[in-house]
Amino acid sequence: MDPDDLQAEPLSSGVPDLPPSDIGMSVEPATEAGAESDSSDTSSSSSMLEDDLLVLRRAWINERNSPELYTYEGAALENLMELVDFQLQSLDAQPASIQNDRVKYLVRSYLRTRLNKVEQHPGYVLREMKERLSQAELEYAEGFRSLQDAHVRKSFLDQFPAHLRRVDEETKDGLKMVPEPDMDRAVFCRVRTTVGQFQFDERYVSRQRRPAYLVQTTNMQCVVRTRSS
Amino acid sequence: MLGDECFKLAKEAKDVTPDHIPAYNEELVRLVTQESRYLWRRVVELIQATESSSQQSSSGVFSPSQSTSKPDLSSQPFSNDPADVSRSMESENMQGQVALYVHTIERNKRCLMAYHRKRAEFLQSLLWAVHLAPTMVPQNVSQRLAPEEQNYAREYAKLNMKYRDSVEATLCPNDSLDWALNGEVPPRDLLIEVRVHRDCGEIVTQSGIVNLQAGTQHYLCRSDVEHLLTIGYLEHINPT
Repeated sequence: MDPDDLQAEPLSSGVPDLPPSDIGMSVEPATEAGAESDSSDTSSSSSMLEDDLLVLRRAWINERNSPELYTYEGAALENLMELVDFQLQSLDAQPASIQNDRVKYLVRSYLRTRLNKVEQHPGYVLREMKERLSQAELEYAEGFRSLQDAHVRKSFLDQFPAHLRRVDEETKDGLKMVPEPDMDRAVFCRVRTTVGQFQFDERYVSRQRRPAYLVQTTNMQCVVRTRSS
Repeated sequence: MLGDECFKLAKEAKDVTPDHIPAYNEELVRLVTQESRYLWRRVVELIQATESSSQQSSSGVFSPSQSTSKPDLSSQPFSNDPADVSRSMESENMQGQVALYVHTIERNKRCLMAYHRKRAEFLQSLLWAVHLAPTMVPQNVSQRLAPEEQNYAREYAKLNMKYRDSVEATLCPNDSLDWALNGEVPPRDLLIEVRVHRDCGEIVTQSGIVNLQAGTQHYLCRSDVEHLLTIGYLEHINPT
């Protein structure tokens, strides 16, 4: 099977009340601004913005709705912010447009959602998915983990017998001290390209383009990750 | 009773809600830690005692007088020498005790961990609400925190500033990302109508200087006054 066909995204169930057109709209002024500032590659820059916006929007929706951390969309972020910056420079003293604010909101929300996941499971993220973080996020995750460790250590663990001071052990009945995300949580997913028959817990679902499904994250993982890798 | 203190601690951890935090219970934390230390000492003692007694008993088993002169014909699979039986019961007893103590220590540790983590999470969300400025933590909250927790808050804010700086350096060197803004609601309008609740003096906006006196109303750019909105100096009128 061609890996490019395997594309799926969780639907926006937990996203705040935001019609998709709101974010999509922010593309328009970019075209106008580009036209005004007589740059020769207007069409290509605006379509690039559109693409990056789409990539980021999708990454943002995925990130907000799935328990798992996905690969950092660094290129899209950088391109988008570069264009926003360019727009602010070319518009000079004019008030910042709401569209720029919206792009910034998207970037902010995306990064903060990721940080939130890092904060929830710093040990797990650093152990399992280091390569999905950006450099800054990696530093943050490490800093946060050592901050947490130092906090419990100074609060009580230093008073504990030396044998019992570890913070990453696992008890015999399977309780882990390093919290992990709940991979069995249900997610909505929309099928973007037909991938044919796919097995979910002995139940075959034919994933045509239209319908949306509610499935467990573990089932979806491999499919979604193919897209991000 | 064994583990009572740590149960109380777990209950206190449950009392932490998004808008309320009970005072840091230093006394209880100390008691639970003390109990764990005491139990661990007992465990070490018990193990040492078992080891020394098993040495004794093994020397007894291998003594020729016991193994040859007393052939065991009773239904009991083990030696019915009363000293031996009591020894084995004693060691079983000890094993039980050791297991109980070790489990209690583990449980204590888990409860302490949960207690501190729950409180740290509260602190984190509180810091985000006050734009990551530890000095802006309300007085009534900060007096309920342990010194260690206040230090945690400062370090957490520092860590976030570092992250924000490195992100802004790569993504938007000429502009700020308004990182600590309330990130939940997407911006709808560029200009918003605000009423001033407390005097803020003059502020510089993109369109000029505005004097924000208590009781006045203004139509301003959202990004210029967002921080004043979150700390409650201004009120957004008719947020749609």
